Amino acid sequence: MTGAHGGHGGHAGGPEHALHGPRWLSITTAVVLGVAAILAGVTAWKSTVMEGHALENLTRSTQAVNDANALGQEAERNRTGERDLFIDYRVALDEGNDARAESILGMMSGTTRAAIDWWAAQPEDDRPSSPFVSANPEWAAPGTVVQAETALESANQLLVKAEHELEQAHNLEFVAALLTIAFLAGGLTGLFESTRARMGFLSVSVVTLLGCVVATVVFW
Amino acid sequence: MRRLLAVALVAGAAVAAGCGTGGAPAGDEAAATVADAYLCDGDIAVMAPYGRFGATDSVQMNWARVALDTFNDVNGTAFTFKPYNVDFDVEEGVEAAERIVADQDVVAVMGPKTSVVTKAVGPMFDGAGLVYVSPSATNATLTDGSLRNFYRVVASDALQGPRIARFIQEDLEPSKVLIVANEGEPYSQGLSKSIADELAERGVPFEVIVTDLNQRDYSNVVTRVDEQVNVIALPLLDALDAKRLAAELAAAGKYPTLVGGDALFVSAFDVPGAFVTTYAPDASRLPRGRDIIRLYESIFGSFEAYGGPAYVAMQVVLTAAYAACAEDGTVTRRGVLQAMPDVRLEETILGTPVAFTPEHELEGATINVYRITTRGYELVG
Repeated sequence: MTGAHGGHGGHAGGPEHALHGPRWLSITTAVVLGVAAILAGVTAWKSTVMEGHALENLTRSTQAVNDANALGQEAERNRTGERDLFIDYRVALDEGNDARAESILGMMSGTTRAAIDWWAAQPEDDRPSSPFVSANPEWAAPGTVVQAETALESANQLLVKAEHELEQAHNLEFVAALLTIAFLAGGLTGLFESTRARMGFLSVSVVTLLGCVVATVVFW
Repeated sequence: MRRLLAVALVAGAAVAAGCGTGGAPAGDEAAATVADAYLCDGDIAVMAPYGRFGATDSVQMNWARVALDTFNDVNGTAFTFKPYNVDFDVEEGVEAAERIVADQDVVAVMGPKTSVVTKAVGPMFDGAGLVYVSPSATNATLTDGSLRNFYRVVASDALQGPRIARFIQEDLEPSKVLIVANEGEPYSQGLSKSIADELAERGVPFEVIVTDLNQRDYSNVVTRVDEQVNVIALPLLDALDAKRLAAELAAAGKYPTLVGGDALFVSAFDVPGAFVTTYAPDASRLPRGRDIIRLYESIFGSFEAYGGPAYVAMQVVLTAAYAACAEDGTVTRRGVLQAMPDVRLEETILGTPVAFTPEHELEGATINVYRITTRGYELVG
């Protein structure tokens, strides 16, 4: 191997193409390196953006899970509470303790009172054993549980999306790393006199670049 | 054309409702579009039993409720429901139908549960321009054109009877089959006739014996089970009747193979070794179904597979109502009626799509046979 300026003492020793090969080769090398540089910049930018989105979605997912759990716990607490209060209310009524029944009724939420009112208004033949059954349109608990489940599902979807974005970001980072091969091979072309060797390195650079372009499109 | 577009728009939303929020993004967008434009509301009458026969008989009401709340939550709608406690009592059904017809807030009906009630109240709903979608009325004659606005999300007995007969002949090596049917009950009569016709065509010896609904003593059936009879087909309406008969047979030391229809695909008929058919696949085996079952269990505790079609029937009614809302900006009986034929659900919790034939039958309906085991149901064909 001989340096570009070694051997015959620089440019005096022969025509330009003898030392540096055909002009198109230099231009192509420059273009390939330029495109590789742009691609490296673009993949790095996209990777950073996707990581940002992933982090945002992870945060939102965590928040959504917390919200869903809180909603679920609240629904469970309300269901238990309304049942307990209803039992106390019935006991008070059965004992003829109207004042206590009135007091318990006052402790109930509006929706629970509405559910009990619906139940009490049913003909005895049709009346379910409890106000807290699916047939009671005023019983709000099923809707709350559905909301909690939907919120949890949304949180899971955000998590899946975040994981996907993180994976894409890592893939793009890998593409950026692969592009260094294109840079290396492209840079080495300038160190060789042999046109064949230079074209060999340029080919490696071009193939790597094309591969990275395809990968970037796929992982975009 | 506009109506078709409206139905297509909301079908995605219905899928999203059926699959939690894991539905297609297109559905969410559709939901947002319609919900942003109008407040879609209206009462859906639910004709299904509740409250008097124990937890099992609230199953369809429970599933309908889960479907309604899920649909509203996913689509931002405000549909409500009105319950009507009707099982297979025709008089109660007619009384409830009168109230439904008179209530102008009701835009559609989910139900009835049984064929006998459907036959009785169908003409009333037809006259009032109400759509009624049953999750379990399977009598073949319901879709012969006499009930204009009737739809169902389950297979007809025209499929079920032959399926049972084929299963008996191909899998149970019958020497003689005894068919036990309910006297004068449309579901039972239709299904037993269908089974008998197919057995006759296949050259399988059989006899038919009729019993009363909720008959207390089955000695008349037990004495008919001689050495020849090794299979009993039970196209009975009430699972408790079938359970009593099985117990009396066992007490008499007789153990023919029992094959029940879809009405026996409930936990009340817990006879290990018996076979039952169902018009819907086991939702617990499907990912979408499992999500909804988890939701169901978190609200109602124990799970009953039998009610799955009630979820789908409610989903169908709501999808049509939603389409009417998208089309007209309001939900009316007429709007729902016009939207119904175009309702298509690409995915349901039962794992099969929903669309209707011109006769209002479920397209591509199938019948599955399950064996009852001590661990639950086992699919055998």
